[in-house]
Amino acid sequence: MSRGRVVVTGIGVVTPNGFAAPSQFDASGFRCRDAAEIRDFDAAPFFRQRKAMKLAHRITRFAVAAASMALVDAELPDDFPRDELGVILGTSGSDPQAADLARALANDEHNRAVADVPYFAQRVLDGLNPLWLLVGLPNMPSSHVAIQLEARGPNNTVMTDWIAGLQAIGEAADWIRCGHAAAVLAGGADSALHPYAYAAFERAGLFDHRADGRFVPGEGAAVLLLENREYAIARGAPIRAEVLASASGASVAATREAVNRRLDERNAPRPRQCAPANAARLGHALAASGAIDVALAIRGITAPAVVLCDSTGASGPAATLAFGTAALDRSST
Amino acid sequence: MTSARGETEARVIAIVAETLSIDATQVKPHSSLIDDLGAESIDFLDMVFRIESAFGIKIRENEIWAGAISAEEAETEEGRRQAVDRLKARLPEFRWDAFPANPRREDLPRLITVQTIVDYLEHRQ
Repeated sequence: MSRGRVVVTGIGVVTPNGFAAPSQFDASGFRCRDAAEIRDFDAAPFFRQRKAMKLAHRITRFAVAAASMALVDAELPDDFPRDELGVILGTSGSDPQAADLARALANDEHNRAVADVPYFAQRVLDGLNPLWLLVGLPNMPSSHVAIQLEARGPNNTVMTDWIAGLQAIGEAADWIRCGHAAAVLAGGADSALHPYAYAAFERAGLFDHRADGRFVPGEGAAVLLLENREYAIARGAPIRAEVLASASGASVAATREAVNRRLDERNAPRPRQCAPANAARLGHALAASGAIDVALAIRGITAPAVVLCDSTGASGPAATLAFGTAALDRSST
Repeated sequence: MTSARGETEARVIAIVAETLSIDATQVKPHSSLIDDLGAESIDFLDMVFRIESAFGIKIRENEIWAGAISAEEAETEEGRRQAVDRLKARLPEFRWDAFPANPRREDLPRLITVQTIVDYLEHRQ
């Protein structure tokens, strides 16, 4: 298998700026009444087929906009072979569009819909537009990006919650190395600004004053255009960074010392980290065996390397679930 | 046109325009939803639901073009041709030059216009 190199040629982001009470639902019943919300955002200019917008909810709109910006930023030519352009986005898929479902099932005094399946079906079919399901399916952002930007290469959606975007970037790099695509739009898009997410966060203790650090639910999208390095150089693309390696894993609790010991045994450098949420959690995260590959990949790099880490976990020390990293070398290529 | 029909037509035009994300002024009574306005099968799912909700009725599958052609007529080549002849008198402004003289079953949805939908709704009353 050829191990070609992968570079970042385009960047597109849609982000909130600051926070305030969410405008889309009433958060007064929750402990957290803040939201990092994207306001006054018009996605229409990014949709060449406007009719598709009625099927595009917030997350999809952010994704299409960010992906479109990434293509422009990368100066990808119009005649780039679309079969060679892939899409992979990370998203949580956590919004069940419960408000619509609740409305369709409202006024069911005796809870008939719970046990009476034909009745449930009748209420739902009468009360929900048939396209309702299509709007919220988690693979819709990747789908709409591919349709609006004519990306006919491989397409996937990663749903590992907060590390999904980083894992998507890692997978996109693998696609390019394996020759499945010459370029891939990779990143993440999500929104936690719905009541279901707030309820889940509150239950998980993330809004608790004893929780580690302040947590404000937010939303946004960030998409990179990754390209085969040789093709990128040949077409004169702007080279913004190189994707050296990525790794993911799940871990049980481990101390930073134990992890560093393992790295020392493998003669691997201890990677520099940027702003981990919590030092102990980072120790958990680095225990994932794949992280060793990342460390080995950046061995010998003298230019500054950025290691992006994300570890996600519930509020207890042993509950770290998953971890992803990607090491980017910002030296010129 | 009676005022009741006029009102029904206006409501259907609004629903079609909203379904297809186009301006209501682009929706003519004789516009083929598929050929002239770019409607796809997914749009019909949406549109039928909106019509059902707006008029408080249930529309069985494929019945939406019963305003243009009956189920019996749709079955045979002869029946379809007869229906086309009848519709040519009913919808003179329809783009008949763009529609096959010998339509197959699959061509029939292209006959759906605001006018045929209103015919169907009136027929149901």
